[in-house]
Amino acid sequence: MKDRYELGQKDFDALLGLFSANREEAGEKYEQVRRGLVRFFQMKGCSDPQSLTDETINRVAAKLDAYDPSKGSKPVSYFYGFASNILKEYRRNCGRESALDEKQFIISPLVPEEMANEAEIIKLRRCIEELERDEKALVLEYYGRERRERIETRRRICDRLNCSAAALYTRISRIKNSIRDCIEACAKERV
Amino acid sequence: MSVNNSKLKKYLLGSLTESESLEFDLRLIAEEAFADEILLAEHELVEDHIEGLLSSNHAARFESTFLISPERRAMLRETSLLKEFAKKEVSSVPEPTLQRPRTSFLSFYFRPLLAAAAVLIVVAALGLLWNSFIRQKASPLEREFSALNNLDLSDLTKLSNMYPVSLIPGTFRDAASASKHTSANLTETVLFRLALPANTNSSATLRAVVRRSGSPDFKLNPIPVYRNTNGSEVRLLLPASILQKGQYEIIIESNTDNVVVGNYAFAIE
Repeated sequence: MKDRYELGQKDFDALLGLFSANREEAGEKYEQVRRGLVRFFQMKGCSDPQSLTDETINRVAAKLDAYDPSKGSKPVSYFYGFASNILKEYRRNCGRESALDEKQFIISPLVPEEMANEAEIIKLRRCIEELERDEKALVLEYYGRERRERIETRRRICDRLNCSAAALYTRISRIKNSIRDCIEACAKERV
Repeated sequence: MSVNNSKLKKYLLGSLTESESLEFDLRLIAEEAFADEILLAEHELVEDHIEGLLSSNHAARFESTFLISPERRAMLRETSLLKEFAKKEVSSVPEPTLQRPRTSFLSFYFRPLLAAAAVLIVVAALGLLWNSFIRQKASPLEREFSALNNLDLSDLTKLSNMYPVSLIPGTFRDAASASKHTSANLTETVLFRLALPANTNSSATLRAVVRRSGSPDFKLNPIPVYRNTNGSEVRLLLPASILQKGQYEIIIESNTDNVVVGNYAFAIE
């Protein structure tokens, strides 16, 4: 990575000016773009999206004089140009991550086709049993079918719950978080 | 606005064009709601991989381009466990037993007839099964897509998210005359609408053979016939995974008298 450029207050104010003359509105839009950059780096598989986002913002601030709004490009596109270069540098320097973060879901990695061992299934069963009855039923119904039946089952669930597929998955994600927390707690009990 | 889920999966696999990827990159930064669609597409892509639904090209990209972070590898592991567990739980739930109705004089009298009818139906079903699957040794993908094509495809609005290919019958002459399609534009399942000749026997059951030189035939049997404003047509759902680059011919044949109803040519570039 290039030498870091640290953002001072004056530069930060100039950065906000990219978004709006109204400071409050500019602050909100800046935050939206900042969160968006974090999502971008996360989606691209980067291990430290926050740092890469900070670096992007720093570089944009250092090159504010090069941004010409009269050319019709939006601030988000300007940020994207820098983000995409930083992504290329990151991939060149870091390569692919191979180690697992130990806070990740449980028990063992990482050969996807490997069958679950008995201990994993026992912990999973225990934690699913501790869910609320409707949550347990929902997660079993959601994951219990494959291929065409998977699609049909989820469509039926969405119709029944009157929600979109994305909203259903958000609900399932919350249930999975509960399961994950439970399994981590089980793992600590044994230590 | 909800994006074609198949296109999102291609975005995650890095198999979109640069301009298409740019569009999604910008949306990801600018639209918070788009992140939910991306998360769903990530999860479904992982499930497609677990269930062996990805083409060989996409499976390779899944390993090299998608599965590059600890978070995604953990998602794969977690999803595998949940699917394995849920499948066992769902399959272990017994079917509800039916209460036996009280025997009445009429049901006692007709019971042998009902039993005989049931035997005939089972024998006929086994015969159809033999013809359509066992004798022709259908692959798992063929069996799955045969079942999919037996669903009701009459409502085209429900199929609007699939890449459509409309063909008319003709002699398979040369590459220049074939309808051409770009593989990058194909959705995971492609909808083929094949206009049938006016003299097609409307009561005939039909089968389809998808042929490409140098590859085994892909067969679907039976395939239903649908009415349209101009006459009748066959609608086929085919997996993009079998549609590699090349010249193709779809042959529609009658199961009743084994006559070729129509030949349809197309090319994938």
